[in-house]
Amino acid sequence: MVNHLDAQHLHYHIGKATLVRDISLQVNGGEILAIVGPNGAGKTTLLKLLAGDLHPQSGQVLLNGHPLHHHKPLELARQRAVMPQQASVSLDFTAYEVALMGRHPHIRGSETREDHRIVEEALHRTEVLHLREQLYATLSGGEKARVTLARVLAQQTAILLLDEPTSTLDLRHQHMTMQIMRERAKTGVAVVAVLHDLNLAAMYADRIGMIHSGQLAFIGTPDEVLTAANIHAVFGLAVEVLSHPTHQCPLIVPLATNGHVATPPEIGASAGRKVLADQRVTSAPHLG
Amino acid sequence: MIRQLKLRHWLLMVIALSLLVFTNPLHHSQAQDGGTTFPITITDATGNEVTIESIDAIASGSGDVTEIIAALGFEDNLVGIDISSTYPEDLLDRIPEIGFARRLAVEPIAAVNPSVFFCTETCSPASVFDQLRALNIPVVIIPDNSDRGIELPLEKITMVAAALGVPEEGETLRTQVAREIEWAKTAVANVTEEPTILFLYVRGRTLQLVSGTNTPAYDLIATVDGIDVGAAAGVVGYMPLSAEVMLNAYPEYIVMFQGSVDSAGGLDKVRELPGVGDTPAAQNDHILVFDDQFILGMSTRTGLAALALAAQVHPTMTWEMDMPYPYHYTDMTGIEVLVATPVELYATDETLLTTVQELGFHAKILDTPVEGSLIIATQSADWASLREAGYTVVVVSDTADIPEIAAALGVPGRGEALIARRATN
Amino acid sequence: MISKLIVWQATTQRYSRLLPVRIAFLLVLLMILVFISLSAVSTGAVRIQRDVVFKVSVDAMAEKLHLDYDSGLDYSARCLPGQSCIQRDAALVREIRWPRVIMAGLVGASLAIAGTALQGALRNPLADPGLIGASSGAAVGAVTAILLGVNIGDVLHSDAPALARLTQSLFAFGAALITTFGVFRLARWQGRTDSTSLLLIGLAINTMASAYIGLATFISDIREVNDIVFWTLGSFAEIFWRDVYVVVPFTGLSVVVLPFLARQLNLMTLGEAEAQHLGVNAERLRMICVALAAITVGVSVAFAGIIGFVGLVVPHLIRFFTGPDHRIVLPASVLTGAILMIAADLWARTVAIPTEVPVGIVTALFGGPVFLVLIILSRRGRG
Repeated sequence: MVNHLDAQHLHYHIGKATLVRDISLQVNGGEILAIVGPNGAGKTTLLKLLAGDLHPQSGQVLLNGHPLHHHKPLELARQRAVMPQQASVSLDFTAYEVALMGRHPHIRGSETREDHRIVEEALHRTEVLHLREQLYATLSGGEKARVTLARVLAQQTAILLLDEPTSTLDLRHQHMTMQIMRERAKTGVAVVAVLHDLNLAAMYADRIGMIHSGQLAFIGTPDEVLTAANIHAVFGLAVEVLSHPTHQCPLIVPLATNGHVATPPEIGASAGRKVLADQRVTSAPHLG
Repeated sequence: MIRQLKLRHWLLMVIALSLLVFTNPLHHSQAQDGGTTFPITITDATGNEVTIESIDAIASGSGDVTEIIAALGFEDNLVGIDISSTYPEDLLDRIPEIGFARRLAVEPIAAVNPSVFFCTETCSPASVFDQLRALNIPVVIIPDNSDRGIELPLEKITMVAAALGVPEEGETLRTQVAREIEWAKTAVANVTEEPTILFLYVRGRTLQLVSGTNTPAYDLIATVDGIDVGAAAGVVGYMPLSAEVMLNAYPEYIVMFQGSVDSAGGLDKVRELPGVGDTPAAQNDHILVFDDQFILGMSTRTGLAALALAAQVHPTMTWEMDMPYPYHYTDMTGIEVLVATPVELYATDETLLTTVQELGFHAKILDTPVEGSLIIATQSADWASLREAGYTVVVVSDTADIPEIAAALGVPGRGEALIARRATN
Repeated sequence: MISKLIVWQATTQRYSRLLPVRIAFLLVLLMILVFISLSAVSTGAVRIQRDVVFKVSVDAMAEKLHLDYDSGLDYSARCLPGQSCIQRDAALVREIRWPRVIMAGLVGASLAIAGTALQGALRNPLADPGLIGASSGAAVGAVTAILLGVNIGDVLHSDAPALARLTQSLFAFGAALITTFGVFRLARWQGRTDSTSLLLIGLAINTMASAYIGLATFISDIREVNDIVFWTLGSFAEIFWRDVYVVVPFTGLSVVVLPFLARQLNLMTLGEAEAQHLGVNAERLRMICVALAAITVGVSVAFAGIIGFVGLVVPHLIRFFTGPDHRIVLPASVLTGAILMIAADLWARTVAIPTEVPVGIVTALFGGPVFLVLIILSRRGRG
């Protein structure tokens, strides 16, 4: 399958506040693109633009060559799934019923045995099958996230957009989630995940896009993007980038002295800004 | 408290008066009346042609209509009445209730299986009438619109009588009620004051309304030469009571239903209503309380109601409310006659009869008088043989004027009022 | 006691996910509906023997469906004054009781399904047909017609009371649609409709509407007050077949269309964006639900006045037993709404013979406590 999400010069503002400024990026089937950046950088807004929840004031998102809004909602739902940051359910559905909702775009009439099999498999994969009869609203945050993940997996789409899927999860399930994403990518799925944890991004992502103040500051392989200088420039934190002992990826270790972290840098003064790999970014973004 | 007693006294008196004047109620029974043949078709107040097959089982949805039906002698034909049917007094104890005129429902009416249903234009909801018609129960709507003024009771009587197939009896009752209304007008013909009056309607703590133009209260107040200060303050129909309205109206008299006073929790609570306590009416104990159906029912007792109200609001009224009996009168034959309460009152000629009737008496032209009657005779009539036959006879001159006749009947004050009334007509 | 109930509830909810259980549940409700309808038709201030009621009903149905059937009931007996007779009893059952019972059922079903759809589509379990302005708007329309004394009978040169009521109904229906549309227009911002502001705006509109009605009550005369009370408290006392015929297509529209949207309504509980991700056109779904609710509720209020609590409580009541799946909740609320409204009306017209209690008072009287109990139970159920 051809899975291709192409964002072109996205621009989005609410009133005078510009949340996303001229961001262009591409995701192809088989790869995981991690979006990282500090709080309020516009990661979630970017994901919403990619999902079609928000419409950019200029620029466009192409799904397999066609603008998002040319796709009907149901057609779109068969091609891409979105995992929200927090998912609440307003009525008392059980975990199983919530996961089953992921099958909606594929169901004609009533759900089949196959649908139930897919949902059970997804629940099993996210390790919440034992919670199937529990009311979703009574689950813990991490359990909810895994049920939601199961719902997204059950949707069986070629494109996955995940907004901080690991934020409420314990360490084991963070890695479980990312491993599932790797498995999916291996089958040709394109994954875009907003991640907080740079090391998680470093370990699992094929490419990383680093967002700063609504702009795509850097994009490229983890080795290219996750440099001490870039991280200091965007996050305002002095770090040391080591080599992971077992994986072929960088390992970020914050440098904290005397119990407090380094002060933010003068952004304009920071050197070494660069945009790599993405040929669509023609001009260097201006920070600050 | 004293005021209340006084009011009750007045009420009793009026009831006594009405008992007296109805010395010969129109007793009627359908079985004995061979003259009318059913079905009757009439056009009612809403313009509908109604065909009435039988009046053996009558349901009445409104107290005023019930009153007329009973007065026409069909009391025993009533099979269902609404809770506003408080006159004659004992009806509600004997006849099944079918609801309340303003909140009727079809089934309770149908449950008494009436052969005809009477109600007025103010009965609601009107769709109940459609539902009854769907059940083949004829519905007769009696006029009840204030633009007909104080004549409204007469129109009601005529239509009810027509529907019951007794137009002549209707005419008699109508004449009688019309005459009583005329008495009220006469009674106030020579008064000097123009009392300011307000009608106040209260239902518990939530609903307090004052009335203005286009209401029965307005017509009644106008009949007794009062000034309806509700109307003067610009109220059309009914308007919620407020201190502003009350002080703007500033009535010397406030007229209320007994039901209103009861629901308010007594006269003391009425005084606490906005603005009421500051009015001359409240300060001079001039809150007049009457039975609801009696004072504004606009039915058979409207003339008496007007009279009762007139007596309350006109201190200078000369019209004696009490019947004079027994009294002594020395007539022109020089005999002092002791006049006791008569069984019937007769006059010997038409002119005399008219005056006697205008003076507030239900009298008849002399034919064959019943025992114990009072006969008022002219000098040229054969009064001597009547007197010999044992009747009480008062003789007046052939050219007797109003004062002489009034004196002969023991009501000189009514004579004065009648003179004034004739002068204005 | 309560804990037992909760265990029992969990069991019913689990089983109610099975299709045969759902079908059985609906069949039971249908049977109760038939039973309560027959009871309602057989009960009233006029005592009519049950077998007469049934025979008359069957004959009437046969006649309407052009079936060749005759129960053998003798309608020819002459009506004697003061005595009951088959002819009149038959007319009462056919022309008064059946339309009334059916209308109560239709209005109950309308309010309940509208409430269910709104609670789902607006993601707010407190959404009620009254809250989006449909009910109060309708009442404002009717009251305006009463105050202005408008009557299409004047145009048609007829003073049939039915025309005055019809005028009021038309005003009510129109105003219900206008109000709902207005509430929605105000709640729409940047191409999206926010549920919370929708409910708040509805609340504000309701407050204004009740102020208007209060004012109207204050300035109108006694007769008009009676009419206004009818609109604000609701009644089925004045229903004829012709009214039923008008309401059937509107209620029918909701009853037929909304179940098809049941799965989409389920997805809406995840949130609008999430529903959208799963292929639901959330904005359009909400528009459809609100429009259908406004139409059905508007026409209900137009004929029966404002009847509260049914639209709010019935969905909660059903969900308490079946869980939240709209595929069962929607049809079950149609039947339950009808059952409860027929029962409420039966009580309203027989509790205080020879007068009737406004049915809206009855629904509030019973609906309020039931709602409280449901809320307390579901809170305990969550532990």
